[in-house]
Amino acid sequence: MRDLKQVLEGLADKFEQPSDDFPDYLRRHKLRRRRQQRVAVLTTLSILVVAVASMGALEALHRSTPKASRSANAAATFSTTATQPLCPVLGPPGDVPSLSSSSGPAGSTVTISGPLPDSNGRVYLGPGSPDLTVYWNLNPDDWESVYQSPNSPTASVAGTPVQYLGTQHFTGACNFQMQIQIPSGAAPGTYPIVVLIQDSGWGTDLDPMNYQVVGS
Amino acid sequence: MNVREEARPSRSATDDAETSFDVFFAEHQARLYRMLMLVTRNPDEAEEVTQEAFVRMWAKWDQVSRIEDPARYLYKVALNFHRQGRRRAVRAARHLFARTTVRNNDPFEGFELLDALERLVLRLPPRQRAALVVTEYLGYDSAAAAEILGVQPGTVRMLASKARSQLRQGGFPQ
Repeated sequence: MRDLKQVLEGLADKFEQPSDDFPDYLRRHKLRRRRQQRVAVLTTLSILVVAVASMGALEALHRSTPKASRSANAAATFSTTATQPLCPVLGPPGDVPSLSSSSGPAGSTVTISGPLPDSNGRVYLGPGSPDLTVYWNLNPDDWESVYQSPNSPTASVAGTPVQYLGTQHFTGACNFQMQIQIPSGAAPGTYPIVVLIQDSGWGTDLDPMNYQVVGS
Repeated sequence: MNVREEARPSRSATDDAETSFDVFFAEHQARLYRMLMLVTRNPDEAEEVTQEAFVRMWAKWDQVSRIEDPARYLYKVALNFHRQGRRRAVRAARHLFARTTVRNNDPFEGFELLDALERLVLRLPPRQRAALVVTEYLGYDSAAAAEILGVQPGTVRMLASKARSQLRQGGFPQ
């Protein structure tokens, strides 16, 4: 009798990479990278030459310009080169949201909060503007079912329908916080709360949370 | 060392990097592709992600080649790229499914030779299957698997446990 590892090995062995052109693809990529490196070196050299020439010109200007106008130039340069602040880099576990309370009676109001991930799930660069949508009792392992079968998404607790709890839009934030109401008709038990995030061109699920409904 | 090699000019750092990358590529290409086939069930996706992962590895090879387990980084890069692609696809699918009737595609089309146990594994939900592939097929412990998959170790154990339970329910031997 085969064990799980043997089944996976046997299955994997049936998958042969169909195309033979991958080594060529990599070779082309390497050649392109070498060309890019050469261009980068030449560009750097050119910039150095221009910079040295400019420094000479600036030095000449420095000698002939009054002090007050020099400090104004410096301030203007600073403001134009300032970059947008980045959100903190998230180590594992990355984009994990949390609930203000993980149990309570049906109909309770709870707050979900956590960091907003970017498309890499690690560094949120901002200023993204994602929509966060929250579902009650959606099966976290089959969350795509809300898109594929909107009328009958896959429920986690059988016999209890999936419920849409709300959507909120965020712009340029590193973290999110939104209030939801636990469905008033929910029977006692433990249910998943799934947050789906969508931004332009991508969407994913955040780590699911569990909420335990207790008798009122 | 023979005379021809002695006469050859000394190799540059770039040549050494290329050689070590070629060795790494030859060692891991097939396993990465197969791992991605197990996770994605899609030959085109597996091939594209394999290519992109190696290209990204090559771009950072100077640093990556010095870390303890570059293969672990390779799997992480590949699965992260796959997740990004999936995210893009989800949004596209949302619009597509809003307009068209859902087709019940057979994900095993072209894999007629699979037996019942193998089909059972491929029918697992994606996250569960990925956790199982990284821990059982690649052989990483839950801490390393968590790093590769970008989740907590507890989540890996939970997903793998759910997957095993689902396999048992489907008739997989204990």
